[in-house]
Amino acid sequence: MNFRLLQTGRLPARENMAIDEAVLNNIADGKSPPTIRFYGWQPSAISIGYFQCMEEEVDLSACAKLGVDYVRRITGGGAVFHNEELTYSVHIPVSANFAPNGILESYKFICGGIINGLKNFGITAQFVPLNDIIVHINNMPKKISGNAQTRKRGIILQHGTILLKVDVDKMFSLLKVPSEKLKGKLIEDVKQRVTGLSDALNREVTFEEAEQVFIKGFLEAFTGAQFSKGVLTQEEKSQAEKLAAEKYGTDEWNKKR
Amino acid sequence: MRKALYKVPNGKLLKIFLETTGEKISYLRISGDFFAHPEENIEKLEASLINEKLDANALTAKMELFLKENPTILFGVDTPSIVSTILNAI
Repeated sequence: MNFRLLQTGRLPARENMAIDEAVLNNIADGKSPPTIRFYGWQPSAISIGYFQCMEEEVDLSACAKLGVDYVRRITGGGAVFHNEELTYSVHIPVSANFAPNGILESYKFICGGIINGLKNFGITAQFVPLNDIIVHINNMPKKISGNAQTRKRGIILQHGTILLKVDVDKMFSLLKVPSEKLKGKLIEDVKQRVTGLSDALNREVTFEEAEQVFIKGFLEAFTGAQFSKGVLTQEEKSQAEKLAAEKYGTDEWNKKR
Repeated sequence: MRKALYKVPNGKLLKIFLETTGEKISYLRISGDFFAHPEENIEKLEASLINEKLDANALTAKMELFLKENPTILFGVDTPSIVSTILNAI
């Protein structure tokens, strides 16, 4: 299968989510090819899962104070602080029979790209159902990647994060926790259980370096696939602009639950 | 607004937001970090449970019927966890 490879760099949250949806729509309409995209977030942002309640999960005044964006995803899952990370999205038509049809199996298949990328960095990683990838550091399992999938209009869309560096203190200044009393313990717990590529390797890994290594990782995992560098079509760009302005940038969508 | 939280064993964190009138549900949000395919069915499920009695058997039957008529793949939550968390929010 031929994939279009998009490298869209760091963008605001509303634009990132709008591009993922515009690409999905254009593939469903037969106007765009299967696509793999790598991107980042500028400014940093919190994304919440489709079923989450924005004001319940996110301290919006802290976001405003720190200049952090927020957005609801079309995929389920939890709140993510997108800071120093590489993000990917993969769009595959179900009818192509390229990815397994089962949801769990397709998560595992697509996450194979991340596991291969980590292997190319010399890190052994493991897929933990449903949507996490963990690495072992000093015999401690630590999450390095979280992933989320939806299926719409016959297209599998999976996007996920590959953490480069983790700032747990900043993350918890932006996310609300069920109990303020337990916040300190929770922060310590997350520090123990989450890591980034730079921390795991004990050296600085840039967005650009990670992007190159994970492009190769996905190519190795997607047996028989070719990646051809491409750009968004004019139609995708205009749809994405509209979605960013009229959906992902609005309270109507972001605070709809 | 009443609220209940439940960490589903080997699953996700479920949050229920509930308002009641008498013994019936008048507002329901099934929230959390779970997955459902298609996602929109959760909103339809919430709507279908409005005016339902706050009774475990009635809610379970209604939800099972809904999921039969509207096939939905749930990950991280299931019918018993949603029903029991609704009842815990009372």
